[in-house]
This record gives sequence, structure tokens and C-alpha cells, in this order.
Amino acid sequence: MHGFKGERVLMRIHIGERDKFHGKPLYEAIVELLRARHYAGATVFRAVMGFGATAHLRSDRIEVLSLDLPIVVECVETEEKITAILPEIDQMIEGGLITLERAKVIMYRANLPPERRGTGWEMDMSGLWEPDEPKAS
Amino acid sequence: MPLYVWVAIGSAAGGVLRFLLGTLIQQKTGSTFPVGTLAINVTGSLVLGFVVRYALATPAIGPEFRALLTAGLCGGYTTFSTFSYESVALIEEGAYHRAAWYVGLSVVLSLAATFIGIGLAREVLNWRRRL
Repeated sequence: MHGFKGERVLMRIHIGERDKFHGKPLYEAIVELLRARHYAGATVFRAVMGFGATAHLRSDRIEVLSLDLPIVVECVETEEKITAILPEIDQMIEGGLITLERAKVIMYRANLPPERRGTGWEMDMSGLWEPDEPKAS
Repeated sequence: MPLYVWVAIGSAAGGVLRFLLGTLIQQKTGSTFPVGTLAINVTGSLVLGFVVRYALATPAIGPEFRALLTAGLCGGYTTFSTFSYESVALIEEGAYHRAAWYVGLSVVLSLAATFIGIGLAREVLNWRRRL
């Protein structure tokens, strides 16, 4: 677990379920890219309804509109790392939308067993970049 | 050629037609009410009503072409399963009024369209006999 708390950037990438990059789903390619570069994490959402720059309506309630549902890929990272990856992601996306937001990370951990968790409130709300204790491994 | 090959040709065309036309109607209306499927089922019912009556009264249209048009084209074009799914989707989200309208309109308009199709076939056949 590396120090990750504090002010970070939340990147949201809006694309379509059928968007492809080199033959594989675009959202999969983006997640794989982020993972290969050891980014902190990424989450993919599939939405139930929406429309984008083409104004084509999508909805999971109507069969013919349900074949290219909206996808949102989220990734929280340092501003430097987000800025560094944007040109590559730009090259991968044919049509879509990317937004950046300031985010305050108050918890980021992989596995913390209950016995090590203590009883108190351990989340860091200071918003400062303070590395966690390096994990003995 | 066995009949099912004719059916296969018809359903391929009907399915593609439904997909393209249904998407177009749904996109153009921008509605979340399943107007695309409704339009498809009503027009398909009209065409089937016409084709069955007209083709049976026309010896020149053999069983092969009838199979292509009815079980094939109209079968691939109209869709009861999508009608069912979209009705259930409306019920699931609690849109009972819209679901009732969808079911009611689909059944009433499709049956009416079949009657109209049969009526049209009768008119065309009568007109042809008078020639």
C-alpha cells in the first residue's frame, strides 16, 4: 500500500459499450493501460440511459437502443499521472467525453484485517498528502 | 430447395429490416416508449394479413415464395419476444400505465392492421378480377 491520501484528481471518461480499440472493448483497453502503468485503480460503470455528442439516445429498456449503452471509466490519481496518461487515452478514443475533478482521497487500502483496524476513526480527512506507514513486506 | 431455406432468406431480410427501421423510428422520436417495436409489429401484421390472403388466391405465388414472405420475412420482421421484454421492462420500473398502453396498443393495433391487410388483399383481388 502506497501513500495515496489527500488531494487527487478524479478522471471520468464517457464512452460507449461498443467502442473498440484494436478489436477489444475500449473500456477494457483503458483499464488494462492504467493497470499496466500501475495507476491506483480504475472502475467501469455501465449506465442504464443516456446520449452523447451524436444525440443518439441509449436505453436498456428499449431493445434496439440497448446495444451501445453509455460507459463511464473512473480513475483517481495524482494530477501528474492523470496528465501524463491523457495523450494516450485521447489517441484511443474515437468519440467521447473526459472530465477531471478535484477529489479528496480519505481511504485507499487493499486488505486490512479487522485485528489491525483498531476501533477508532482512522480515515485521514486532513486533505494533506501524508504517506501511509510503509507496509512491512 | 427445402422450404426452410426460403424461410431463412426471408427471416434474414426481415430481421435486418426490423433492426434498421426500429432503430431509426426509436432514434427519430427520441422516445423511451417502445414506439419502434410497436410500429414494426403493427406494419408486420398488416403485411402478413395482406400477403397470406393475396398469395393464397394467386396461383402464381407458389409455396416457396409464400414461405419466404410469411414465416420468413414477416416472422423475422415482427417480434413478440421484444414486445414481451419491453412490456416487462416497463412493469419492472413501475411504469404500469405505459405498460398497459403498450400491451393494449400492440394487441389492438396489430389485430386491426391484420384485418386491414386482409381487407386490402380482398380489394386488390376484386379489382384484379374486374380487369
